[in-house]
Amino acid sequence: MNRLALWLDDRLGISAVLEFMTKKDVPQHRHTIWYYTGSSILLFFGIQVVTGVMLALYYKPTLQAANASVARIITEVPLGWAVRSVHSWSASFMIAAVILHLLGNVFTKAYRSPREATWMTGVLLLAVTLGFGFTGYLLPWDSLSLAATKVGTDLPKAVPVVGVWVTKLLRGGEDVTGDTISRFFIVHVCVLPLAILAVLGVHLFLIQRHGMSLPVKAEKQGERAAPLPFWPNFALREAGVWLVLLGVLVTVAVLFAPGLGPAANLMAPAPAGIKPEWYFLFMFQSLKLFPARILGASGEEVAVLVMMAGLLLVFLLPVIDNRPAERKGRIVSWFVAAAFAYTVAMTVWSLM
Amino acid sequence: MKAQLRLFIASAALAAAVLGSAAAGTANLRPQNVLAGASQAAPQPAAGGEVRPAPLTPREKVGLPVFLAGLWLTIAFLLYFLRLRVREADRVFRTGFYGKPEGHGGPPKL
Repeated sequence: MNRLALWLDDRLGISAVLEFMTKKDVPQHRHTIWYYTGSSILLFFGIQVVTGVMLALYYKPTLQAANASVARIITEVPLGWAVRSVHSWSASFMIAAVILHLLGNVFTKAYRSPREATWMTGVLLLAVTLGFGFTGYLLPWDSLSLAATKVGTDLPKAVPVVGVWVTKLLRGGEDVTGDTISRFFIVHVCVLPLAILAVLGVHLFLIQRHGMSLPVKAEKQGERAAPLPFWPNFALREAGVWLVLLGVLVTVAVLFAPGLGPAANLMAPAPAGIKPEWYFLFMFQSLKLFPARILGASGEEVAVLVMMAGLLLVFLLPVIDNRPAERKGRIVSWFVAAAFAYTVAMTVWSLM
Repeated sequence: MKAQLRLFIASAALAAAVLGSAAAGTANLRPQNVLAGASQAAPQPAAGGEVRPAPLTPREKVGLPVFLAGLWLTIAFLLYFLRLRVREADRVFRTGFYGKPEGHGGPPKL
């Protein structure tokens, strides 16, 4: 056994990684809890991969079979309903964890120099995660997912010059059809997983390179206690958090398994009360608030441009707030808090 | 160390037992059983055309709480075990037994 370990280590350099882990420290302060959100994302991502592969064994991404194959998964395949439910709930949990992780980094100003690229890759990870949610929503091919995807893929049309082309690219034609299912399926199980692995790899490398950030206040006031070794002290605590999250996820998935609507009919009108997933509700509600025309331009066009500008601002936050401890830093914090409050308010309003 | 090993074996045995009983409980949760019990051969759309996943039968409704209770019991036991490990790791770290910054009781070196 020892010889095998030595042989492997000689080729893979595992001991160097273990050596690194023993020397890695985690700062201790009153915001340490935010550090657990990062590993929670990894947990949910792992669950998504495992359950996603299991679902892909039975799912058929065609116009005729998509809805029926999901119906088969939840009614005939052993524990298929549970696997699908865990996949669905884990997606929501993962997106919530990503949002919490980003918020934690905003309020502790973790994007400060030299961690700008870490922040930017984090925002890219959020975008990819939302992409997973958007493409996955269509796959059951029920009337609700069809209608929501029509609305979602219609949005880029409002972007000047390239908008119509982007919509066609997403749909694989003028309208949402069977080609859109295959397209979304390939993006969901092939393109986005590759993208997330690439961005995640860079993100994790940057975290190891720069270490974990200290909040501005803790750094200024010397609040820092002796840093905790990552291994085994912090890793064991993380294992506890993972266990609880796993329990919550399985409990919610078993008790509130999602159903499946009737197969989508391309000729039927959109059903009443269509809504996207919870993480897109604020955009959905905001779109409703925009008037049809604003200063001669289409309201939808303005709304889409405002949203794109918002996303760009989030991405460039470390460049904008390059001196977080100064007055500008406090203004940015208040602005982010207001934006978060707006998002929550719009989401709640949409649910009412 | 021996006591820890015993505790670990005991916890593993308990977890296996609980998971085993939980799995036995969930065996009845299979939708085929559910459908067979309800004399249904194909997915039955609920009102509004929606296909509802389990639970559908009384047997399954009983099985779910058993499974969840087993799950949480296992988690509680593992958390207890983890807490012991965390306290031990923190104690070793505080004593500075392994020195700083050269490692602090890390994984066994290959």
